[in-house]
Amino acid sequence: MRICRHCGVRLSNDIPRCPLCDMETEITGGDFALDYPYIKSGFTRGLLLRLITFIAVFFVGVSLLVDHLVPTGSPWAFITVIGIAYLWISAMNVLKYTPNPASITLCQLLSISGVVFLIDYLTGYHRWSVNYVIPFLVMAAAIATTLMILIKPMKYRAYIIYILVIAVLGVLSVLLWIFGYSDIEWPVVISAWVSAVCFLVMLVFLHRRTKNELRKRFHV
Amino acid sequence: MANRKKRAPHSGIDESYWDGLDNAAKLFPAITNTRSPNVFRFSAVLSDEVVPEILQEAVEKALSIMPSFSVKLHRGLFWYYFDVNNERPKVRPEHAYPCKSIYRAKERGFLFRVTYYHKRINFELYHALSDGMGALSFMRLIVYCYYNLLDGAEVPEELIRNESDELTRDFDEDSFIINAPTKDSDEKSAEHEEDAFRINGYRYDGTRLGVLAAIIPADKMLELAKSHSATLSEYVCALLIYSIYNTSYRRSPKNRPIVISIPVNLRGMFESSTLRNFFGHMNIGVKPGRNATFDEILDSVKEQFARKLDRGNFERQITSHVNIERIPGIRYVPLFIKDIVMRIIYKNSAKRYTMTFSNLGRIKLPDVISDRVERFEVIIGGSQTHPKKTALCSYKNNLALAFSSTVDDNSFEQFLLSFLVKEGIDVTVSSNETSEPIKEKPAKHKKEKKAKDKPKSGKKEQKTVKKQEKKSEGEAGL
Repeated sequence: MRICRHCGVRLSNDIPRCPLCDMETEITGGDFALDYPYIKSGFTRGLLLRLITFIAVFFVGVSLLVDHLVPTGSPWAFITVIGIAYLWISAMNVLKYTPNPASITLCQLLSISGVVFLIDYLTGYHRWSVNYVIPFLVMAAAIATTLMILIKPMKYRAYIIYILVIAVLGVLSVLLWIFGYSDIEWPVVISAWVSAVCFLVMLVFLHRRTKNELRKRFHV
Repeated sequence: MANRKKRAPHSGIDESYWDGLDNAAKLFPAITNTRSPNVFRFSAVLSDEVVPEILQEAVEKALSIMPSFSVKLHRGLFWYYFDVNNERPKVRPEHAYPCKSIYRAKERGFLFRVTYYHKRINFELYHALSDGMGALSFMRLIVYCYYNLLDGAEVPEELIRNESDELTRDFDEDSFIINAPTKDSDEKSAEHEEDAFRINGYRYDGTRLGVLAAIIPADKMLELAKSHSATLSEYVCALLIYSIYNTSYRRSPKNRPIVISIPVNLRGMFESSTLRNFFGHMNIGVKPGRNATFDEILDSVKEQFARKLDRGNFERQITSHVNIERIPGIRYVPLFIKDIVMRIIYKNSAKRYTMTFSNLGRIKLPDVISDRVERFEVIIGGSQTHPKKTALCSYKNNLALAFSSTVDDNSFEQFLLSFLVKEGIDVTVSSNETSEPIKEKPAKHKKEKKAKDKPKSGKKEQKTVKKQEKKSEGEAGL
């Protein structure tokens, strides 16, 4: 116990200064209570996120500056910026409080697709992204998330919604060919077919769970 | 043990269980961020050091009895919802400031956190899941289970079951919806109130929350309130207003009322036993003149308590809240838009009070374990809009009046406690302003301290590490 003569209160903790008036306190005997630990202020999550953002912005600035000062005619600076943006999005997504592998897969699918398409577009639009990379990415994502649910069936509630979104995107990827964005048919069709199979797996084998999950997500 | 880990710890709740948030809870996810975590804490101060392994088991056992706390919060397209959480909660030593944000934090998806520090068990809860009374039921259950596991037969299992049976029957009912009259009422819930005075101050960094709990003999305090023919809540409420009036209010030029917002547990009034939120608010406001006295303020507070603590008043409040939910078409508005609207509504209502004061009342435990617990404390977490909050609870003869603060200014608490001391009340202060001053002491004193209290071994290491760091920094500087 300590006592603060100024405020007339007793202090159960061993603090040399009164938390009320900041005057010196006196020891009066008896045990000190240990009520709260000492919290050291350290490196917090918020600081980490801000640091990552700062580094990203810094390098975006550097590449644009160099490109401006030493013009080469090639779009290398924009490709660098796209790469940095991709890394930043990935970092923010992975550093979320409760990372979910299925949601990370969806985020990666969308951001990598965007990155490859933009790089393809900036380097002359040879259509390698829409012809090969995106269909195969969708296929890989659909298979990966379906495997996740098969390996960890306990977690189905966290995964189902992302698998459905990825599968629907996969089926829709056939639009790339229909609207003439891609000029090779087979990768798109295979990807759509695989996605449709994954979608069917969800509907046929996890019918009740899928329905229940959708009801939760869309309840009004 | 390995087998245990695989099993879902709580068999009491079905895998496919899910539930929407109750009417009051819908607000909390929208207005929660790291600075307004909407978290509150119950602490039980035991007579002995906490045994972490037993506490871990006790929490799991308590969850299996009250599975409504074993949920995760998810975002749907139109509303938030609770979903079953099959993880095992992790009991940890206390390592952060009280009432740190829980939503989306690494609590394995749980909306509560149990920590321990020497003799204290801390149970922190996100307000979206339940209110003070629901949290208290769970806290008591943890204490029962803890002693049941520690002492075996001395604290019989039946005791726990009896206690919890009644509680778990209607555990997830939304008592707001049930008790709101179906006919549209024309009456407004509350007359438009003017903006209240707001306490300002220099904010602490980050998530720091200053906690100052005054431990007061309950009988003396009740006597004091009775001598003014007031209830304890009325007396403390008046004292809060009087203290604000004499400290920060005097320094402010605006002549606004000092308003204390008091959450009222509606379970008794409306015969509900839900474990979700079921509370109303009562705003007690006084616009003190130039030389307001304590007795004047107390009289006004008593009059307002008598007028506002009335079933009809809360019925109107519930109706007006539920009616918002019943606006045609509002259910189909996407959640993120609802969140923005709710934030605006909340900001407006938050302007109408100066401080929250919550009285959890007298906490009771069965005789077999009542001597094993010294006292309970309730702490309300800080918020961006209101830097100071006060909560009160009593256990046996220990009344704990806990102030939490996000600003570096204790003049309000000092005035209030000095007032009580002058009234002849014995005040013992327990504060979380722990080691900062010690850090600046010269090394000689440090050694003395270390020798004195051995259990602080973790701290000791920290300090030595710090010292070394400082040393190396100094060398580098040279």
